[in-house]
Amino acid sequence: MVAEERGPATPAPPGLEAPGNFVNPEIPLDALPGAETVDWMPLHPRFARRLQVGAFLRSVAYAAAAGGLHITVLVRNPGTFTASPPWLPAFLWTLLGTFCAWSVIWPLIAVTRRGYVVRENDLLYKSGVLWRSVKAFPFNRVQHTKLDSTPLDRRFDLAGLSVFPAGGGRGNRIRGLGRETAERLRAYISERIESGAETAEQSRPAAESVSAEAAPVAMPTPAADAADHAEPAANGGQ
Amino acid sequence: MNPSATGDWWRSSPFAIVFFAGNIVRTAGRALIQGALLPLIATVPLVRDNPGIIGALPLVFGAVLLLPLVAAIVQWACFRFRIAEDRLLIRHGVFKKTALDLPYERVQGINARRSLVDRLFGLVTVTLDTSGSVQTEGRLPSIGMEVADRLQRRVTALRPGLGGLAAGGGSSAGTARGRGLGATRDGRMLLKLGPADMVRIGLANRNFIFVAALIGVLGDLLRPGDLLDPILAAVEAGLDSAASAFTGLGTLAQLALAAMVTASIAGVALLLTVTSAFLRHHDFTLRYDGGRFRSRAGLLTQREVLVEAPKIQQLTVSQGLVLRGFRRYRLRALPAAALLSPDAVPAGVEVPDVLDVPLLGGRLAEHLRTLVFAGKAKGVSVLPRCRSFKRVSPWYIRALAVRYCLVVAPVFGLLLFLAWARVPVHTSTILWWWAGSIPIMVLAAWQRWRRQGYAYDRDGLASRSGFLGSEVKAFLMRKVQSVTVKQSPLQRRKDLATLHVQLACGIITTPYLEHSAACALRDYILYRVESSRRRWH
Repeated sequence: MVAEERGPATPAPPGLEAPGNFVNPEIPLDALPGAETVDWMPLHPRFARRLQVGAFLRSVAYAAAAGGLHITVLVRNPGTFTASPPWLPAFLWTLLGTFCAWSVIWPLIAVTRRGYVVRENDLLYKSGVLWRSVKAFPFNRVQHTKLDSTPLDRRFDLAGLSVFPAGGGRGNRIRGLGRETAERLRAYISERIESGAETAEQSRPAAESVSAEAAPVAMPTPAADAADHAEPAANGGQ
Repeated sequence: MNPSATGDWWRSSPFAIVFFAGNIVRTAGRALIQGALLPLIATVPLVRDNPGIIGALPLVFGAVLLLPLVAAIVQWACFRFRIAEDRLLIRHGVFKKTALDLPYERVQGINARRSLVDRLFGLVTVTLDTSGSVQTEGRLPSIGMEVADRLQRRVTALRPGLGGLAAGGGSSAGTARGRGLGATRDGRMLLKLGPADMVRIGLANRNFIFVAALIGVLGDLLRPGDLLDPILAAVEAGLDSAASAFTGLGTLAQLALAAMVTASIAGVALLLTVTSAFLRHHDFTLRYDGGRFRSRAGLLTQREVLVEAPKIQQLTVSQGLVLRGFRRYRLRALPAAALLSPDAVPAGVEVPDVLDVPLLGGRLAEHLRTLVFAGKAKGVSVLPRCRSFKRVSPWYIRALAVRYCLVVAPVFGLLLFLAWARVPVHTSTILWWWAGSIPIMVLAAWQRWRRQGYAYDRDGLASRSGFLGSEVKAFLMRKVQSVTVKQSPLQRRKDLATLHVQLACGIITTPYLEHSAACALRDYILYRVESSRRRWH
């Protein structure tokens, strides 16, 4: 149903010709690569190992805390929980052990499911083992980017890249890029943001209009508008 | 960039002290509730043991009352603002000095609030919304009307594309004083709500049932029986002559009495909600002039909201059961950074007013849509009952039902455990209840599925949801910030997906589309965004 709607856009009717300096090359919709057909770039090969080390360190901390609790409660003061079933400590230890083992194994499964693609106009990021998601961030909607790395990340020479859209929010983080890759990606996105802003500036009239919204030339995305005029019936019944 | 020399630093009117004091009291009250209450209670034994200390209590209370006032006066003295050519500069803070620099082109909307004190003295509290944060940022408490008018003219003068309003507004500055900010700029009146509409709003208030229940509980706590007995006696005495006719109808009289009590509780609740509707929305007017919406309402505190149509990110049209009976809707126009759910706002953060039309007809809602979307997205209706909405996959029912059952499972599990531990006889009853709850869950899921829907055309997309009432969220595709396609294990098996669209004012979710449709929609939205030369707002 959607495919029908994405028919080729017709050229602008005479009334809607864009001013001379405004260039908006038509993008044939069918030529847009679908996000499913792209070649996903895997995250850095060391990232899974980094997550495992992190999980292992955390497991050691949990085990130490649980051990301390065990000693204070059961060994030093054996009479505290006389009413509790005798299998309870063993059960809790098994639970903790399973959890820790699972958290060390999990990155091996999860990381292979993550990936990203840099396309001409947007950045795609996929993640999730059971609940899978593909996120898309158009470059001309990115407000700013941020690189971050924890000490453990730096040890493995990794970094995370956050992309912030407008309107606040926490941003969207891609972890586990090689540090150099992340740096290059950040530079590329910043460049894209700036060039996007430039074209927006150029498309304004010479007059000092401040709001892009208000500028008359910024109005048309001619191909789409024309398509609207050409096939008014296409939207009906959808 | 070069602040003009024309603007001087202004101080707001001394009545702003009331505003600052109010803020301080509110903050202090919140702090008290959040934990400072304990030390206060700790003083009780102190007072009990030393009765002589009671003489000092008035002093303490005086200090408690005086402190906010003094603090407010100091805050007021430190508050300065300056209306430059292209930006508003605010300096405030006593110990921690803050300087706010707000370029007019970043302003999303101008809100004005006039409390009773403000209105008596011709003052106004102006708030400028920016897209930067959820919190209100540029706020000028209790400034003179002509200053406010000058500020508004400055802000609007930078928007040449929005019609010659700035020129028209200039001459009216003097006469604007009477009613509100820029009252004489007529524009086109779109909507005016009268007293009958206030009653409708009060009836449609979601709190109505809640208030009624509260009154019922309070009435029960106050032992209405004691109160009712004399009345009953009086009624009996008064109807003594007719009593012979009613002797056989004792139960009927009781029923009538119960009905009367219920009706009176509902009446009081209705009175409360209608009063709040009057306070909030009295004399509501909505105008449209040169690309901007202006709403004004309020009985005591008058609120005025001014939003430019292109800055609106999303239209939300909702219709509860009562509103459905009236064939009316409620519409909210969210600018960037407005939070979709008020629950997500951290405590103590003041959120700016958004354009909120509490009651409007379907035709006006559609007209507002064409105004906001500038004639685009004609195929996307904002009315929940429109036929253009497509249903999502029926598998959504199963997913929801499973989710509901999982939510109640621990409750029944616990009950079962208790029954097993103590009184094994009732286990079967609980199991029956559990089994009986499943069809209800399925019905609820089915109802949610019926309400869920989506509609789109070349420019816009609308998503409908709801349980008893329904709500439509519509937006222009080119305003999208990012798109996510998500698949749960069940969805993967059935080749379905959920589409999350992030706007500058929140995330809109359309669940259980066909996977191919979700991907195609995603790719098309991306195309619309990426081929748009306009910036996001």
